[in-house]
Amino acid sequence: MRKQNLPGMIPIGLIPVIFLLPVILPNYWLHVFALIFIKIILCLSMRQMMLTGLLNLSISAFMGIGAYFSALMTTTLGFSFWYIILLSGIVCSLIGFLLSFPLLKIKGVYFFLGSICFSVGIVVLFSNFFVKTFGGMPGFAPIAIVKLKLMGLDVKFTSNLSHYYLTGIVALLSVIVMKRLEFSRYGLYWKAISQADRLIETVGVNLFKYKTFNFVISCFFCGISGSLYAHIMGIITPNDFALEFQFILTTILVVGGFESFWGPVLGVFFLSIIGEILRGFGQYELIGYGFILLFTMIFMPKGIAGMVEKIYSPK
Amino acid sequence: MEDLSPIIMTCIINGLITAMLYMLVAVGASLVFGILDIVNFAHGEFYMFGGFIAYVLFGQLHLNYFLTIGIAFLVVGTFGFFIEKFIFARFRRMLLQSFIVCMGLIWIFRESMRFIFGIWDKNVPVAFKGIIEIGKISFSVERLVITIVGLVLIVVLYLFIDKTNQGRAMRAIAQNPEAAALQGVDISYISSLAFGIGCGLAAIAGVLIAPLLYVSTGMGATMIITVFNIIILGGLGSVSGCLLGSLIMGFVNSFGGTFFPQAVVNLIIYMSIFILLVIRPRGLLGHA
Repeated sequence: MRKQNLPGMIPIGLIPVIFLLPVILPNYWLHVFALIFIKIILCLSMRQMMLTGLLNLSISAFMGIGAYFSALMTTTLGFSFWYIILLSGIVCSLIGFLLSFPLLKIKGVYFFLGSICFSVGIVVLFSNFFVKTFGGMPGFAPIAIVKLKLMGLDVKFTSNLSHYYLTGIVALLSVIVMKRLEFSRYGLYWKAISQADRLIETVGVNLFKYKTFNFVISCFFCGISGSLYAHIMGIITPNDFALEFQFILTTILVVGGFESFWGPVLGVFFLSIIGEILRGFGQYELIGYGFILLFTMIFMPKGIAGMVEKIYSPK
Repeated sequence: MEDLSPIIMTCIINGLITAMLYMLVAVGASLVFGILDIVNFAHGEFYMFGGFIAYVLFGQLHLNYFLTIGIAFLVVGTFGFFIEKFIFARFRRMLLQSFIVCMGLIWIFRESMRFIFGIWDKNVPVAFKGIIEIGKISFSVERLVITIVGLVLIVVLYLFIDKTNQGRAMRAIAQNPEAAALQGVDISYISSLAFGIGCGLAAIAGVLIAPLLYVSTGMGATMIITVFNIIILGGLGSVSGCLLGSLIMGFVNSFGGTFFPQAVVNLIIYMSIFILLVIRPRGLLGHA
């Protein structure tokens, strides 16, 4: 494996930047950044699935499961957010574990279509069934505010600044975990599976075990980000987790470049900033997204990260 | 207890009509999957183009209905031909990349149509007035025409794929592109042609459905999910599977929609498609 000097340096330099950025950012941009951090977790977990060669479009559905679970537990049943955020991750990974028995048996285009089916089914479930519990099409609101009791201090997470730090810290932890995983033994197996799964099996690697582990970890982070999303927005509707959002996540992944670990992170920042610029065009911003996607695919198929690598790697 | 037979007959007729329309859209997507190995999510947008062509030519300019169908096929087919030639040709056999391109195209097409025609749904006048009554069952001439046009087109398409040289070339590429190229098949031309024909058929479906429903920019998005359910059901890349899948889907929708809430039907459809994908990923009639 080629040694990555520059990309390896980025995270350590990034931590103080993340902590100091709110000093210069306007209030509205703090909210944008909180959403950016959530999208980073989602895109990285989607990318982690892609390491094994599976294009998973049910990421947004698992985020939805996490969000609804978290909203129900904290608001309707009154549990503390700090246990529930972990628990919603665990619940998502349990569902992912159960789902992996049928879903991971298929691969390629069939897995892709199967994950779409699951995703659409979940959105139909949230919008039309158990309307009293889930709130139906109008959504679930209001969701309880996150509170923290620390050494006599009673902190309420209502401001954008608190959301920024909450999501920022969770995203940072997730990034560290996922990065460690990718460069561990598991990551090696995952990459090997995507290249030659039959060969790996003959060498004696339990293919299904490693694929399931990958799927479960990915679902865990989806659940956590869903929980964060629910508490930051204060309202969740089934359409937040529809295919449209999943498509945006996929766009981020591709524009950023899915072959490198930091690609999705770059993609999130790039597209969110573009999105804020395009916001002035109202509903026509999607035309802009469409052209960005087309040109990215045609002129830089490896995304922004591919371009950066091309510039920094000496020929 | 009231007599259910008229309701059931109406359901059967509605199911047939829906199946025809589904078939026209799904067969193009299935052809494209077989030949180019890409999942064309932008296919529904060509169906939407058909609807808007019906709105402009037939609804506003009062052209002949069948002339509108012909123009829609030619215009959208040519457009699809060039879309394949300039965009999708680069992404053959690349699942993720082609999917992203489709998303880009969907956004561009849909939002530009919204830009041109505004956000409101468009109403297209009925092309054929009158009602046929057989016993207790009654249905409009409009629906009869749709069924006949759909049937004719499906037969023509079947003959085209089975008997002509281009059709044979398409089947050859779907089986083995390298071997087909060695036999002198122009892969890039045939792929573009298949894509164009698929788009043209989707546009015809759009023209046919326009007088029955409203024409809206979102109509492609609602169609495409059903279309992919049909393709999974019948088998990816199989034309006869496509016909079977459309019939099943048409009847499930018309009967289910009559006797159960639509949400329940949808959930059952997605669940069964999901289970089918897991048990038998190649579909009911597909090859391994």
